[in-house]
Amino acid sequence: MCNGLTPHNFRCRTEVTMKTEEKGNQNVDMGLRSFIKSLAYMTGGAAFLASTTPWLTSCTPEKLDEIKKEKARVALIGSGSRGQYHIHNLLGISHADLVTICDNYQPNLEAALALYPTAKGETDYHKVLEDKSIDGVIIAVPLYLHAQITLDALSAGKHVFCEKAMALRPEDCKAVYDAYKAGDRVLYYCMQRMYDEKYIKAISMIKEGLIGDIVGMRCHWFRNADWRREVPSPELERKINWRLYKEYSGGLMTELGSHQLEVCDWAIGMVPSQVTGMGDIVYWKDGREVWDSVNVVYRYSDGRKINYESLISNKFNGMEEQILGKDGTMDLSKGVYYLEDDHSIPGMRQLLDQVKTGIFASIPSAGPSWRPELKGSYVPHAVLEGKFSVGTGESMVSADRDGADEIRSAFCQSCITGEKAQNVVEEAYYSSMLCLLGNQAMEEQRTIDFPEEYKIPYLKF
Amino acid sequence: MKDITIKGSTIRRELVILLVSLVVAEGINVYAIISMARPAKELFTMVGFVTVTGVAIYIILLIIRLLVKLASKPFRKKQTDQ
Repeated sequence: MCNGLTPHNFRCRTEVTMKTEEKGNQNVDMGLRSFIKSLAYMTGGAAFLASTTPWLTSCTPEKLDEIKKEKARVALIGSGSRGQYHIHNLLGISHADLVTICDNYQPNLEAALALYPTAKGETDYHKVLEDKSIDGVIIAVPLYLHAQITLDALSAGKHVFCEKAMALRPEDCKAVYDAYKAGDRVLYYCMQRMYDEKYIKAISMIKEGLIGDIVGMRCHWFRNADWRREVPSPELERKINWRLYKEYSGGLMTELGSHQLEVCDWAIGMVPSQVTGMGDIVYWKDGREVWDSVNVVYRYSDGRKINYESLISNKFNGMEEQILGKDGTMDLSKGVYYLEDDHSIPGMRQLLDQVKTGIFASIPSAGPSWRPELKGSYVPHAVLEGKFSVGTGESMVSADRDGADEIRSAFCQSCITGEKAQNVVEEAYYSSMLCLLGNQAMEEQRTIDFPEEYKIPYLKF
Repeated sequence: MKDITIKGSTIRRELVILLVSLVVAEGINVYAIISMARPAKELFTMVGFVTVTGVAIYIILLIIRLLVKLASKPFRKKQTDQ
């Protein structure tokens, strides 16, 4: 039996999933179904889901069964690369029907319609919102438009799934949050790590005390690419390369950091109270306005910190989210953990490591009493034993399944049931706010306290 | 081409050295299990690691013996000349 939450039991559960996968079940719905079922099986059922991952309670296998003959009629607003990624995914969701695709950039619209020929093309999102037959909208437009379209969609009675981050300005984040709380419509943000098996398991293991008390967090996202898209004519530069301009984008913080800051708060169960940092254009001096190098420190009220760094002119370190505990380190992005005193290593290997350390540690490098305190060799332990790979950090989270499929499926399920996913908006709100405050701190070159007026009744500071 | 003759006593000596190396490696394993408070099953589960370590010890001894032999060769020749 796999009762309780230990690394061994995670493996027991993984075996269940593996068996399911071996049967050739690659359908998104079934993946979500088996994922939650096995999670509940492993950890003691609905009570566990409600206490640790309450957002999963709206998309349990049982609830999915109840609506299996129904389809959510959804529209896609924004059909660029991310929008087309959504389309590929929607094709695998049996309870979703993409009825309309909307974009005001014709080449993207045509490419998207080719992927989903039964959908209707539209160029004005207001017309999509007027269509009473549409249950929900998926928003994949540039960041500066997120808040306005989300507010319009909610007020038009549509359920909404929006890309992160929530908005480009704190006041817009708050306006969206308030509108969501005041209404009965469903709102999801693409915080896919909240639906990613390895993150859920890893954070459960952290909360069970696997790595001891959390003493700090280190997150970084490194790439070596200019982040530019090809522009067919100069007047389209700002429309296509919107990520590079502050009028439309929050740069590295909102595009990359929002995911990573979200999991830090999730792991520690708090929100940072202070932020400071520095941002610069170090390498890509090509007319862009957003920084290509950011270093931000988030400080929790008890002194623990997140060290956040992103750089897009060197990819050596890739993407990592390290939760540092007194007894070990959890690398969430890779789904592995390392123990400070690893008693699972065979005795003979430990002995030989000690001898090796003894030999090399005795070499003085810069004086009689000093030796290089280099990073030791730790044995990685997988959170999940199974089929997932870790990429180079050049692209999005590159595990075979990163939770994006599941969260979209959950949204479509919510479009039918009308049941909100608990905490998704709250997590997205705080991670978005932290990104924006990080940008503000770098812009103003000072330490910023989390503003009282933007605190919401979720998590403590 | 000249035939190389390996005497039975040489083979026996090398096998004994290899056996002693394996016993020493297993001894290290036993010491590690006791000192690291590891389960006794590592006597068997670490057999591959022990074998590799034993062979490594044998190779190290072989290299040392060859070096000693090479270093002592001029002296032996001198004694023969006299």
